[in-house]
Amino acid sequence: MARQITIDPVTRIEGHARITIQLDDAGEVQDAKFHITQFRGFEKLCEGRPFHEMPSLMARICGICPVSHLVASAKACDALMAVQIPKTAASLRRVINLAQLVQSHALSFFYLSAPDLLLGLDSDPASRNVFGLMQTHPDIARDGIRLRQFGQQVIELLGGKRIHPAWVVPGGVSEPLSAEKREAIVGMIPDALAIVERALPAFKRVFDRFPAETGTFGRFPSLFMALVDEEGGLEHYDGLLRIVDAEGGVVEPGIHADEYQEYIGETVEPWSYLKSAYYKRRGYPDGLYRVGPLARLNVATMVGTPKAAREWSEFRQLDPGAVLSSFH
Amino acid sequence: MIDDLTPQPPLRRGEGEVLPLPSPLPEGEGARKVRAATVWLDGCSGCHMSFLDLDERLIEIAQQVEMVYTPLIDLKVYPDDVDVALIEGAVSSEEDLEKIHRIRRKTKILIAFGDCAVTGNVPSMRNAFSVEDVYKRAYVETATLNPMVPDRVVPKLLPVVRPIHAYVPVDIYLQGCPPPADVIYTLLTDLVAGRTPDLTSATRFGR
Repeated sequence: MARQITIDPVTRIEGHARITIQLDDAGEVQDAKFHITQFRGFEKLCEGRPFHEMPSLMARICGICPVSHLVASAKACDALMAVQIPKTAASLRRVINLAQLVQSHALSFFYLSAPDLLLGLDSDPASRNVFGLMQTHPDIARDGIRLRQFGQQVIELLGGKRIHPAWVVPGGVSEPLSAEKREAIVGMIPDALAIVERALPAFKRVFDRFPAETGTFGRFPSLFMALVDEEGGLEHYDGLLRIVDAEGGVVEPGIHADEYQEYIGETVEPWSYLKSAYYKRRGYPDGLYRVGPLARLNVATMVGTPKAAREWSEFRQLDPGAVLSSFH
Repeated sequence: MIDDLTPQPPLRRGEGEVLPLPSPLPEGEGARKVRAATVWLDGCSGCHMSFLDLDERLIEIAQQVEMVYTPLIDLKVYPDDVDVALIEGAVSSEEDLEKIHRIRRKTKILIAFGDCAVTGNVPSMRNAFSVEDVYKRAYVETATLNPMVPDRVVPKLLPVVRPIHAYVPVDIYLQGCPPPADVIYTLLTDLVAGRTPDLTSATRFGR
């Protein structure tokens, strides 16, 4: 008998969402929808405010990735002022951006996903979480806390506070990095790297336990979009936007950020507060594209540091073209 | 009353009186752990991230309390008999409003957690505009295809954004954007020990 399954709320995400799944008479999935149920109106509430308030205001879009919004907004302000920021400022913005990648990936993996993977997808929800992990896998829980802490501490050393640091400003950053703080950051790296080098092999072994999920979870052909540098290498702060298809073929080699409106459109779905972005030349929905860590690894043609390059290379073996499963 | 833009006075426990907080510590031998919860309404989760910034002190807190509901775990229903709840975010939608009333009924000590919960903060900046204009900017003026205001499944926005105490009594106000992790730690350990925390010099708005 046809019926609807509702997952409400979706947990372990930032924000508010529910999922509705339509089953047909045979009990097969006919349709599934992801409904974003929160909307604040940043694109309107900023009107009338001085432009230089925007980075710190846009930071409040998200408390996990405020650095992303600070950086994007500051870059837009740089363009408004038609300035090239000092090289040191660009380098410092890169460092805080990298620190954010570390802390937000640590959060996503250790706090939000790892409990499901390590405790079992069907285990009791009351303990299938980071607090349960503290009991059953205390070393892994501690590793996760410390890796996130590393990222947060670097942000704090650079920006003055861990969350919503106002240090990224139009024209650059508001303070240079002192020698003492630089030493402190460098001193924290060995332990953080050791955590990653412990976690990666453990994570790869976990895949063997989930062949069905790896084969089906978010596994579908799509476009992917990410930043690349001039050589097509992995980028995160600057560069050009590149789009590849599911075979890994380049669809759009390099879009300047300020041209985005020529290439990217947004459509409204009546059942979600989230608008759907799409690549205009393919229309909607064919032009849907994925972004984020999976996209970054699919779009890049090289990665500039030896250990990361080895891992990336091994990762790309998972599929002949782009790696398609979001389970990875 | 919701459409009325007249500022509502915050609900007080008793005019001019400083009442002791009910201790969340369950009484008696073999007492159960303190039942703690966190919720975010219309916020950015930054206050929750500041809570996680307790770093390894989170392990210590987890041993002293039972987390019975939080967006960080996979439980779907806010339970009865919550001793202490940290509520982040302003009240912006019909769903937020329904939630805050339900949370207040089921919670002994309700903490307005962070500036959005305490004053409205960034979400309330939309109050300078009509809710129709806010919707129009996002879903009509900046939509390439299918310009329309979403109207199925999603909760309607309230005409104005209000802080939590505009709708329910609040026991503790914890300011900050976000409140620093050290202050969250002091607050929680004080409450678990049955002490009334004094936050007046510990934190401030907009930090």
